[in-house]
Amino acid sequence: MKLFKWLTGTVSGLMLVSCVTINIYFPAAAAEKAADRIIEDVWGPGTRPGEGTEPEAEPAQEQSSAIEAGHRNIAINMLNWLISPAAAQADININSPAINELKADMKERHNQLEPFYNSGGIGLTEDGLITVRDAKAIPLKDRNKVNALVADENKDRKALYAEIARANGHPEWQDDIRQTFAKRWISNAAKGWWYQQGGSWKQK
Amino acid sequence: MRCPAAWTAWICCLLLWHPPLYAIDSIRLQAGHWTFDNTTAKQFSLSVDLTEQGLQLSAAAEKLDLPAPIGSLHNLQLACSSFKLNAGRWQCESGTAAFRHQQLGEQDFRFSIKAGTDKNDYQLTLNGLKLAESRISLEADVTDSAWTVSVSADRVSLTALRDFLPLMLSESQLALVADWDYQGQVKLEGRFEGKAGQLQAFSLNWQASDLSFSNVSGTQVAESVALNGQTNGRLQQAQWHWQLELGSNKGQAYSEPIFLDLKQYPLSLTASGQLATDFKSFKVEQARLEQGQVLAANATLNWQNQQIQSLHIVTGPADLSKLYPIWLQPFVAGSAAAKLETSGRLSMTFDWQQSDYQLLLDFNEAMLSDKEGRYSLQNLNGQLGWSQTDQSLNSSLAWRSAKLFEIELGAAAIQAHSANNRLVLDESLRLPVLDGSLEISNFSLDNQSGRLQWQFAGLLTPISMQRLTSALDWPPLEGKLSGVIPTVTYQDEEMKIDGALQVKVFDGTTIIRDLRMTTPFGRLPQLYANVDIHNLDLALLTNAFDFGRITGKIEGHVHHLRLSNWEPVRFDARLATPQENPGKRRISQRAVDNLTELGGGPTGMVSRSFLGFFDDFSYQKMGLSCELDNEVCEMAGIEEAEQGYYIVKGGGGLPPWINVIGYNRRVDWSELIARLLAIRESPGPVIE
Repeated sequence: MKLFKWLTGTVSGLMLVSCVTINIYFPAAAAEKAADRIIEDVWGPGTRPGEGTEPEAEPAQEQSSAIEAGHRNIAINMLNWLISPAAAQADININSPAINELKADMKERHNQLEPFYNSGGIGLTEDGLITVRDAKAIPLKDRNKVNALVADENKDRKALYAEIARANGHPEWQDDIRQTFAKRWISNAAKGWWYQQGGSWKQK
Repeated sequence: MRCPAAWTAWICCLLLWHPPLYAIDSIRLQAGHWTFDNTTAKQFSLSVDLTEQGLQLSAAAEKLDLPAPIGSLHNLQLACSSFKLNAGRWQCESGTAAFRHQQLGEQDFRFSIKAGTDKNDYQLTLNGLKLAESRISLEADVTDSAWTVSVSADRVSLTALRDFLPLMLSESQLALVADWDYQGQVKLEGRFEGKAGQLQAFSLNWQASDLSFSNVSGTQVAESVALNGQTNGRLQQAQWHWQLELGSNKGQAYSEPIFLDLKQYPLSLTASGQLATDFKSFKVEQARLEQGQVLAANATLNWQNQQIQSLHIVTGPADLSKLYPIWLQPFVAGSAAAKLETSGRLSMTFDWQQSDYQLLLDFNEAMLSDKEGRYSLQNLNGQLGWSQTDQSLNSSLAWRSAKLFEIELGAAAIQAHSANNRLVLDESLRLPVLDGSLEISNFSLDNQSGRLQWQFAGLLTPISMQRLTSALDWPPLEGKLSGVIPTVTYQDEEMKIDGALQVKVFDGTTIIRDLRMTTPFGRLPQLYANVDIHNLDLALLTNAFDFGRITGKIEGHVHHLRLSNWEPVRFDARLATPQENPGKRRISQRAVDNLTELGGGPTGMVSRSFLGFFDDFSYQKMGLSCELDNEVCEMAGIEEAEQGYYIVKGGGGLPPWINVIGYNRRVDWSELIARLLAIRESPGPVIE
C-alpha cells in the first residue's frame, strides 16, 4: 500500500514537474527573429541584423526543459494527450493590431529620435529601453521635446514587450521578451550609436 | 573675500615706497638685493630728482616678490612726476606703474596716492589696470578705522578671468568652479567697505552679455544670455543682510527640466534675506520671480544645517496655456497628463516643512483636455489640496462638463480633504454619465511611498445603450446599462471592478463581471471581463442589426474577454438557443443567407432554389461559437455535421426545414469582421 502511494505520488509529481517545465519554455530563437522583424520595421531596413555588426548575440539557445534529451520524447509523447502539443512548439506571434499600431507609432517617432541616436544625445539601455545619454549633444530648445520622446518611446517599448507576451498567451514571458529585445536593439544599432553594457556606455 | 586682501597688499606695496628726504638735487640708489618685511626686490634702483614742479621719483626692480596672493612682479617700473610733501602728508599725482605678472600679464597703468606719513591712512586711485581683457579702475580710501574700495571694469571676459581665479578663490571654491564651463563678458561696478581685514558692506552692479555656462552633466545651462543684476549686502551681528535684483531678456536657459526662452518671456528676480558668516544658515525673506506674462511667484526660504527647513511659494494666478508647457509639462513627461491642451487660470500655494509638503491648486475657469482624447475637463473651478502632513487641507472643486474617452460626463462638484498623503471625499458624488449617472461613495486616494491607489463604491443608474453605443461608435443597441459596484479599486496601474454590471438589452439580461483594466490611461489599455448573456430576444436583436429576422431566444457567454487598446483580441464566445422553452422559432431567408456567409458558405443559395418561395422556415435549434486567439476565430456550431458544423438545424414546426452548415473552422478575425460588416451594409437578398 505504501509502495502504491509512493508510486502515485512520484508519478503525479513527475507529471506536475514536466507540465511546469513545458509551460516555462521560452522560444528564444523565435523571439529573436520576431524582435529583428519588429526592429527592422521600426528602424528601417538600414539596420539589418548581422550587417556590419559584430556577432554580439550568442547563438540562440532555447531555454527549454530540463528534461534530458533521451527522455524528452517519451515525456512529451506522454504529455501530448494531457496538454496541447502547441505549447511545446511555441512560436512568437507578432501580428496583432495592437502590435502593428505600436510599431507604426515607434517608426514615426524614430524619425525624430534618429538624429539624437546619431549625435549620442540618446542611447540604448541594457533593459531594452532608451535614455538621454549626453544632454549636451541636444540643443537646449529640444531638450524637453527629446525628454518627452524618450518617455513616450519607453512607454511604447514596455507596452510592446507586454503585448507580445500576452498575444502569445504567456504574460509571464514579458521579461524574457524584454531581454531578447534589449540584445537585438543593441545588435541592430547603426554604427556610431551608443549603448549601455555592464553599466557603462559604449559606442558601436 | 580674498580680493580686497589682494588689493590691500598692492596698496601696501605702493606705500612702502617711501621717499628719501635730502636737500640735494638728485639721488640715485641701487641695490642688487633688498629685503624688507615680506618683500624682496632684485636689482632695485631708485632715483629722486628735484624739479620745478617738486620731486620727481622713479623706481625700478628686475623682480619684486610680494606676499601671497600676488607673488612676483617682473620688470617693475614706478614713476611719480609730481611728488609733494606737506604737513605730515604726502601725495603723488599722475604716477605710472608697469610690470609683468604671471597671471595679470603685462600691466601699465596710472595711479595717484595721497597718504599721511604717521597714520596708516591713504587714498589711492588706479586707472587702466588690465584684468581679463578689461580695463579696470580702482579707488581706495583707507583710514585706520575703515576702508572703502570702488572698482569698475568695463568688459571682463569670463574665459580670461579663469586665469586669475587662483588669486581670488580657495582650493575648494576652485574645485566647484572647475565643474563649469562658462564664457561671456561682464561690465562691473562694485563698492566694498570694511574695517581692518573684515568686509562690512558691498554693492555690485553688473551687466553680463553673451553669457553662456554649463555644468558637466549639462543639466544647468545658459546660452547667449544677457543678465543685468545688482546686489548689495551689509554685515550685522554675524549675518549678511543682502538684496538681489536680476533681470534677463535675451538668450536661453535650461535648468532641468525647465527650459526658458528669455527673449520670448523675460525673467526678473528680486530677493532679500540673510546669510550667516559661517554659511550655516541662509534665509530668503522675500523673493519675487516674474516671467513675462507667464508667471509671477513669491517665495520665502529657510535653509539650515545643509537642508531646506521651510519653503513657501505662492504663484499666480497664471495663464494655464502659457504656464503648462513651461513649468508643468516637463515634470509629467510620459504620464497621462503629458499632452494637455489647457486654458484658464491657475494659482498655486506650496509649503514645504522639513520633508513634507502641502500643495494647494486654485483653478479658475480652467480647461484641461488630453490631446490623445482620453479625457477632458471644462470650466474647472475651485481648490484642490494635497497634504503630506497631519494638517488637513480642504478641496472644493467643480466642473461644468467632462469627458472620459468618448463618454460625456456632466457637471459635478466634489468636497474633499487631504492629509498624510491621502485624499478622502467628504460626501458622495453624483457624476452624470450620458443620460444616467455614476454615484461614487467612500472615495479615497492614497499615494503612500509614491504608489498611487484609489477606490470607491459605485452605483450606476441606468444609462441608455443607444447613447453609449453611439458615443463609442459601436453598432447601435437598445436597452439600459446599470449596476451596483461594491468596490472599484485602482492599484499598480490596474483598475478592478468588483460586482457586476448589468445590461438590459433585447428583452434579456447581459451580465458583465470580473471586469478589470490595466493601464487605463497608458499606452495600450487592456480590458478583461467575463460576460454572460441570458434570454435575449432574437427578433429584437436581428432587427437591430438588420440581419434578417429570426425569432426565438438566445443565450450564451463571452468568457476570457480581453480587449487590447479597446479592440477584442481574445475571447471564448458562444451563443445558442436555450434547451428549454423553445417557443416559436423561425428564421427568414435573408438570415439563412447571412448565417451561411458567416460560416463560409456560398450566398444566395436559398433565393436561387425553390425555397426562395418561402419567407421563413421553422428551426429546431441554432448557435455559433468563436474562440478568438491570435487573430484567428475557431468557429463551431451547435452540433457536428458531416463536413462541418450545424449553425441552424431545421425542425420544430412545419416543413420545409432548412439546415445551415458552416465549413470554415478557422477564420481570420479581420475576415469575420469584414463579413459581418458586409452583412450590415448589404441591401438584403434578391428574390427572383
